[in-house]
Amino acid sequence: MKYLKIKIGLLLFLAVFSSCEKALMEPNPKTDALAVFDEYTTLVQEKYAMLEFKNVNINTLRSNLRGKINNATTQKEVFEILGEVTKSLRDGHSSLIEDQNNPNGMSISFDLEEGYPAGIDAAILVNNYIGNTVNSEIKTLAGGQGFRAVWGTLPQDRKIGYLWIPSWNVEISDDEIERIFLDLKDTKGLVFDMRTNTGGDPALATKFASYFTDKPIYNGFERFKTGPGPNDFSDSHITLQPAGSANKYLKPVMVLTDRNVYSASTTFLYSVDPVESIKTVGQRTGGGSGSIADGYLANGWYWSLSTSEFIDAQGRHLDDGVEPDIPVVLNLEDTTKDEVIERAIVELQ
Amino acid sequence: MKKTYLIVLFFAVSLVQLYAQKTSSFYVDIGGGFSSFQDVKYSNVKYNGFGGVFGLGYLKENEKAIWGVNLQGIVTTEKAATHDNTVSTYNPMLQAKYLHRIRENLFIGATWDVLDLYAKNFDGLGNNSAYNVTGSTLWASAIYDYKKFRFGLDLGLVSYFKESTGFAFSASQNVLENGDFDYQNDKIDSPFAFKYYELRTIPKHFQVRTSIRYQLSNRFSVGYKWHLRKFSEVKKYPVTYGIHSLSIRYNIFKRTK
Repeated sequence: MKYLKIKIGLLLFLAVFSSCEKALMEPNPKTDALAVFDEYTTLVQEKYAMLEFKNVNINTLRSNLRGKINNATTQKEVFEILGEVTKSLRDGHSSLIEDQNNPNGMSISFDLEEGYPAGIDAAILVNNYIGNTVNSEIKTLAGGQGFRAVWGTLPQDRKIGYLWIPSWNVEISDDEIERIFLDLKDTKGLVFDMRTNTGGDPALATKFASYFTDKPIYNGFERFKTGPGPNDFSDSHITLQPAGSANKYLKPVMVLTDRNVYSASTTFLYSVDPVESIKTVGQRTGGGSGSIADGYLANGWYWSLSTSEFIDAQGRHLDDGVEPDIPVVLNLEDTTKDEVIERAIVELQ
Repeated sequence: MKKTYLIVLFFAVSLVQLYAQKTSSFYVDIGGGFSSFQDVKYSNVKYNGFGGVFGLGYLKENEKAIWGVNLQGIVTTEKAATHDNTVSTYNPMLQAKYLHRIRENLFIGATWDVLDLYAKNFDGLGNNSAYNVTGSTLWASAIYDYKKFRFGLDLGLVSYFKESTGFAFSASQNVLENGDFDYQNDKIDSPFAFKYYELRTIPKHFQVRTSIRYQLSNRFSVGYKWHLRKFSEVKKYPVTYGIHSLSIRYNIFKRTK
């Protein structure tokens, strides 16, 4: 009897206290179509950092779309209606995914390449520039989706270095970066191929950028959303500090760009943009200058949004991409050469 | 007279014996936990889930005071209340406490959470996958003994801490508001970058902890603890979490003299 009382007491104690913090929490949100619509549009309104730059009037958009939702609206229709909001942002960082574990599920994101010709052909690159059969001096860092880094000199001119980072979504150690720049040190110019690099870790991109200057460079500022109001922003002014390395690369550099130069690659580009010896060759970049926040709506749909944007030292908004210094279009019919690399070589000779 | 003297002496010695009693114990705790979480900055959806608790500690008690140190860890897996996504929660904590005896069964003093690392990992998210609150808290503490029960109450007075995520990005709110964000600044991501710590007091930063322990035998006791924390580094967007644990304590050694 004594132990029974204790057990009952403990259970009561647990029952009372286990729900205490919940009394201090906000109630769980509803998951019906209108509630999810309101949740998403509120997130966009409060967190998205570039409504003005993207010329999106979220209140008008919400008013126009909300009326399309009623009790008969299917999940697919709701997703498509929310997708209208996502698409209006024209932003590769902003997406909506029904179920991340289901590759056949619904998803909405911005197609960076739509309306642009291909910027790179892997076969042309391998068969004429970096494949082992044509270039025995090429070195690689294995890992990632194939290679983390490819570097060496080009068979067309052994005094010109070549570096390709296919993605920033990898880990490259400080020692490996040193090794790359040590190997490239004696070249007279560098082709830095950034095509296909849609981003990853901006800190890694910044670390590479720091090898291309011997003095601090003012880059501009990243404007973050810091509160729900339309004017709740704060600017972080960025000055690139040079790497503390003896192998910094201060000679002319041609950075090859295409539409997939996005996100952390844009971080690299704005970091080195003020350096006069660095030029861009190829296509307009994809942009994606902002930092990303992500989460789940109440019904489990995944969202991501740009919650900052970068405005460079020239006052340019970078999110829609920038034109290269030297525009060059790849001719896919001529498989003997990559016009973008060839133009870069000419510029460096 | 001699008889009276002997009686008084007997009671005095007994009283001294009673109050001079010293107990020291080194213990291990093991049990289960239940945690819940809500960060209104990103969603009103609550996360709840179960897990395990482990602890080690040393406790010394004499006629004047209780003092002790405690190292504990709680790991839970929480599930969202309205969808299937989960989050893993880790909460290691190092504590020290000193409570002075006010009455025979009442102690008042302070507890210092030397290090309280509350970390979460949201499955499937990118930049917002990692969330943590790292810091230290000073608590006003009370312990009340009743028969074989020991009741504890802590009220968080002041916390020195850093929350990893701001209103709209995975960096501390003060980093963003102060314009300190920079990818070359490693400290932004470090949970131990004191530059970005904030000092917060009640009631803005509310923390309370309760406990109840029942002594089953000299070696074994069973205890329940509850920790509630609510704070807002972004006004009107609070973070609230609670952790409950039910554990068995085994005294590896317990000496009374």
